[in-house]
Amino acid sequence: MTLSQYLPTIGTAVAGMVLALLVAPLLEGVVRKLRAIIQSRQGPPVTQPYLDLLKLLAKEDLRVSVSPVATWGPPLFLAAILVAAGVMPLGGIMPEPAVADIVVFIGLLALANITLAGLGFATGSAFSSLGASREVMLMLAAEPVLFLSLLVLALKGQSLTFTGMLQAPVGVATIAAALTYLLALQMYVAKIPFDITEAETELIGGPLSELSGPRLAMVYWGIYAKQFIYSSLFVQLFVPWTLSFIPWPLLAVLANVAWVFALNLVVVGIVASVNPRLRLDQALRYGVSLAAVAAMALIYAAIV
Amino acid sequence: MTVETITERLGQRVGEALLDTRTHKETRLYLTVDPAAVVDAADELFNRMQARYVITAATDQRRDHGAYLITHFFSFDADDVYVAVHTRVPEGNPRIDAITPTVPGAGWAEREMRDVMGVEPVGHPDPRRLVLPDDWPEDLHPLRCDFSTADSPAPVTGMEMPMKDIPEGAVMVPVGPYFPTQHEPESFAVFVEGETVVGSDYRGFYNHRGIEKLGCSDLTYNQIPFVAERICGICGFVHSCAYCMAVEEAAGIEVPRRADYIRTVFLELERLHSHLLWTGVAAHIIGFDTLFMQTWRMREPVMWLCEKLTGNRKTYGMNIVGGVRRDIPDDAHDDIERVLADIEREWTALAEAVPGDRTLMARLRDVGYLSPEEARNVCALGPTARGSGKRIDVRIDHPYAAYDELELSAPVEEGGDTLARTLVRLAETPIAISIIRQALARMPDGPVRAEIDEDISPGLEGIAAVEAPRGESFHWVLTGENNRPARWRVRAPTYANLQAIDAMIKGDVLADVPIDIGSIDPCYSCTDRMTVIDRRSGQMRVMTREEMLGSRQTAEHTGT
Repeated sequence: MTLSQYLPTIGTAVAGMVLALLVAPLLEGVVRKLRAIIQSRQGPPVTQPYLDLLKLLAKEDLRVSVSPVATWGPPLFLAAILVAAGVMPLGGIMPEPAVADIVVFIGLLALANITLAGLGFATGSAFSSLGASREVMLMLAAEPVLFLSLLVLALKGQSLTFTGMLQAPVGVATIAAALTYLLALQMYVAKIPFDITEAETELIGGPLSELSGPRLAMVYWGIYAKQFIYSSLFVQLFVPWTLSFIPWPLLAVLANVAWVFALNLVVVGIVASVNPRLRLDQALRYGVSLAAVAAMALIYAAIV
Repeated sequence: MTVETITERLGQRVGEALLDTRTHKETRLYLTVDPAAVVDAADELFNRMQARYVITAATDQRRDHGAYLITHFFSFDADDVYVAVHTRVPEGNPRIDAITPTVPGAGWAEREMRDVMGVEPVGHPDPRRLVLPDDWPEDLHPLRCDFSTADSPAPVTGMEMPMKDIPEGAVMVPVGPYFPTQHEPESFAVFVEGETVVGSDYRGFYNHRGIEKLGCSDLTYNQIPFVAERICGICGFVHSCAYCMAVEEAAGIEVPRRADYIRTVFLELERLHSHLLWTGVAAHIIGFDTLFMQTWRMREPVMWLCEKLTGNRKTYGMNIVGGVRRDIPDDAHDDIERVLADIEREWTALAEAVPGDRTLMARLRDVGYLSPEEARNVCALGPTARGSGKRIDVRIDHPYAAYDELELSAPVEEGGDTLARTLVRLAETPIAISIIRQALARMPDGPVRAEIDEDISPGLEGIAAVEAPRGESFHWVLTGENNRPARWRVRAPTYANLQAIDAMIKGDVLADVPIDIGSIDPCYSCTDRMTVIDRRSGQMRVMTREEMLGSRQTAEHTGT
């Protein structure tokens, strides 16, 4: 294959990354505004996350640890998430030839989680370490749900590639998988009631507590982008018909983004506003029961 | 149990050692016992007669009596009697048998007695320093009269309080001295096995301001209320009110009835404000910021109202010995009613929603359990005691101000967990609203303060207690010369309730500790400091001050 055949793939990847980078802070800002309204507050302007990131990026680079994990963790965290944004479909479109399948995609996001946990352990602070171990535990609870619900689509689409999964026919199993994904979305994006890793009032930010300046900006940016990616993946894989009827790719991408905002306002933002934080053991129980539902959906998909 | 029966039974128990008895209006009993009989007297009162231990006070009486006066206070809540057990410890041998082995709740008070007065509690199970800074000299006792408030010992670095031994196989996680959800520095060392709490230790009093010392060395009777109300940032009125009532009782000053009603109104406004504040803080601790913001929005009009009534968003500057400094004008009644009606409406909705919120319930139910026995042993107070099934409320047990003429009840929950303490506060808020309405409706006309023309003579005693939002605030005043008390003792409710934390957090997981501590409604401040001992490697890591400074330096070196 020649390079020119890869051009659509590269183009989509670049567009996906740029979109995740540039739009994700706005998503965060809009959700913050919603929370403010629910809390009878005026709230910061929706552009506040951009200003936060710019301010942090311009700050002096202070580090409490000289370990390579602490040094390279934040860029690695952001990079893993951006690559994940690059290899996933965009606007319901997956150009051929694809360079990655969902296994790679899930691996990249897991890499991001592990990096965040590693960052927590590397800084040597007890808060960070506690947050890091919580991050690992939460990951062990959330990843099976993610993997099993995507596997249902893979089974229905007869392929582990995004292209195949986009073609998966709608059925009982895929609807069940979509529901478990939606119910676990709050866990994936680590928002209340699942902000257990950071738990400001218990661990003053957990793995983030020892970060500052540009490194903190990278991690925040990655967290915003992660929220965008998980929501975008739901829209494209589980409700692809909301995008597939749009003939123009650019418009499909815009619709994709609009859906992500709607999903975050209606689900993530509201759930985070009307709940307290769960304890780790309660969150793990929740994750395990969702994984059980996803497993049943998978078995059903395999049999029927 | 009347003062006569109490005196009689104590007389039978300690015999000749009961040196003197004196009563005041059948509700106060002042006894003097020989130092040798003090443990017997405490045992008789606390264990046999089931009195509640209140606090211990130490007074320097070397000039007049050549002795230190040690006073243990007890309360018979069902009978409206406070008992003060005085003992004089000779100045040459400042030692007294500790009552802590008999009355566990006296543990802190006797440590404090040793710190501030230098009277050794002999046989105290935990004789460590409590209130003085770690680097304070051993032989300097600030409440002794020969210590001047102008004296200040030179700071010494590297002094640290010895902590309790960590149980075998446990990890220590200190919560504090700055803690993200509390607003004052307090430090808990929490011992955990895995995630489960097995014990704890406490170091606090970082903000000890020596207010009691000021009260008997620098201030005058009418200056003290302004300092007293600054003991607490939330229940300030409680302290100035209790102080004034103690002086009024000692000096026999009759407070005009209208002043009693005005005090009642402000005490309940303060409770309203405090419970709204607490609900928000508790919600914030468990990450429920929407509830936090909404309750604080509801609370704000109370502060506007207080500003209108007192000139201050807090209820400051109102109390004075003999009454209050400002009247509540009749045209303010409508403003008050508007605020009350709004809060009542929103609070009803909130109180109904809480039991139905499953996530909230999951975080509150069955955590922070305090058994009724433990509650009695540590002498827990207020909602902390009432959440463990103990029906004690100063407003009902020892009526003061206008409470004897108003209808009120004290909600009690049997659960003993954080949920029970929450439900108690949820139920108390509408009662506070009802009390304010009753007080406004029945408020008699007349002056708001008594004219006091005579000096207050020395050697008189007065006890006053006020049911603060967190429990009983207890004040004892012994009048002195120079227009100021010889001793003014203050016991805020958190003093007792904090001692319950150890029992509460045992068996919970680490994530429950913040809400457990929060559930007694203490007030302290942000940013944790932790120490971790890895039980597998046995390696201990305590972030000391030097290490913290060191880590800052490392950061500066690696900075680009």
